[in-house]
Amino acid sequence: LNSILTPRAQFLDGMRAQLPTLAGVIPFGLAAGAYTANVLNSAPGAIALHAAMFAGRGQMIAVQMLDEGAPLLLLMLAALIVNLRNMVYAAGLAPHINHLSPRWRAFLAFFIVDTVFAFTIERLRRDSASAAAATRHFYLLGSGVFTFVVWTAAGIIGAVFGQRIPGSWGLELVPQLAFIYVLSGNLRTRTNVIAGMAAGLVATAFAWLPLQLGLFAGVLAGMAAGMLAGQREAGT
Amino acid sequence: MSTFLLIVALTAVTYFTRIIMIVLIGKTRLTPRMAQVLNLTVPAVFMAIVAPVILTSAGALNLTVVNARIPAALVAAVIAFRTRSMALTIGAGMLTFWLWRFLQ
Repeated sequence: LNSILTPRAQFLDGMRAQLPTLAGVIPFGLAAGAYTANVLNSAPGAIALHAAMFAGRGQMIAVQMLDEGAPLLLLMLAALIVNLRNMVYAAGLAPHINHLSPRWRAFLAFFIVDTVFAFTIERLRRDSASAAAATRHFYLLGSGVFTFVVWTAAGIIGAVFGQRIPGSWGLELVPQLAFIYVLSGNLRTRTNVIAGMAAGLVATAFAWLPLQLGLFAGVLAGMAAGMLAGQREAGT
Repeated sequence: MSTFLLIVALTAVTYFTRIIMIVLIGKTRLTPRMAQVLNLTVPAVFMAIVAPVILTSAGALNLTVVNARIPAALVAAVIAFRTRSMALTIGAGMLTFWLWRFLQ
């Protein structure tokens, strides 16, 4: 059964795997595009950033800091910290794309985002032990390209028509709910729960600080608490 | 600051987080310690982002009944753990948010 899959079949399967994420990607893309166009005061500039960065949370935070007058280096630091999790995803995906040429790997790396990783990794692992292994990067590619196209289209609509989306719809809440979904899969070990709790508490306590400093404090506190908890768990 | 420079800088930093492990893993192995630290970035970053948005208004803690984001987040969390469906999580959360606002 589905032991040999053509690249085309893998690509289409990959696109289909991302359908459940549309409920998150479309509203988030609309909101991010609208907000970015508003701050940059330029729809084309917002669309270019939206598509090239292809990382909604980093984009929102960097643009918010830009609005507060933060220098570029701080914006880059924020984008780096918020996107550190991509390294986790890349490490998980690496075994599935390591056999490819450097050019292929560099291209596929661009599509590493939360939902692409979350909705492809199980299938990639399953395929790696079957005859479908040779074509499984097309599954990843299909998922990534589909998400990129939907994300960019939503961003364009948001950037061009964003001013007409009423604030009362609460679209800014959608990405938070999507993150709650990701967290529900992640908070399954004691160490992760402790890291998450510490990060949430500290970030909330310092939410009044400018330039997203509360977020930085929260991330650092969460990782420190998680490392301590992990050490204790290891029985040292 | 020019928009072009902004786009190039932020895109470069973001792409770096995507490519670095792919490059490194081909050459060296991830130590268990490094893997542990990396894995912690996922809950830490997400909770540091989500919690303040849900619990604060303009930087101050807002645990009042007016804050519809709290019931929305609670419902979303329950649905997420129960159904493992992203669409249902977002749908239930937004529905709760709108209903809560409507009923006030």
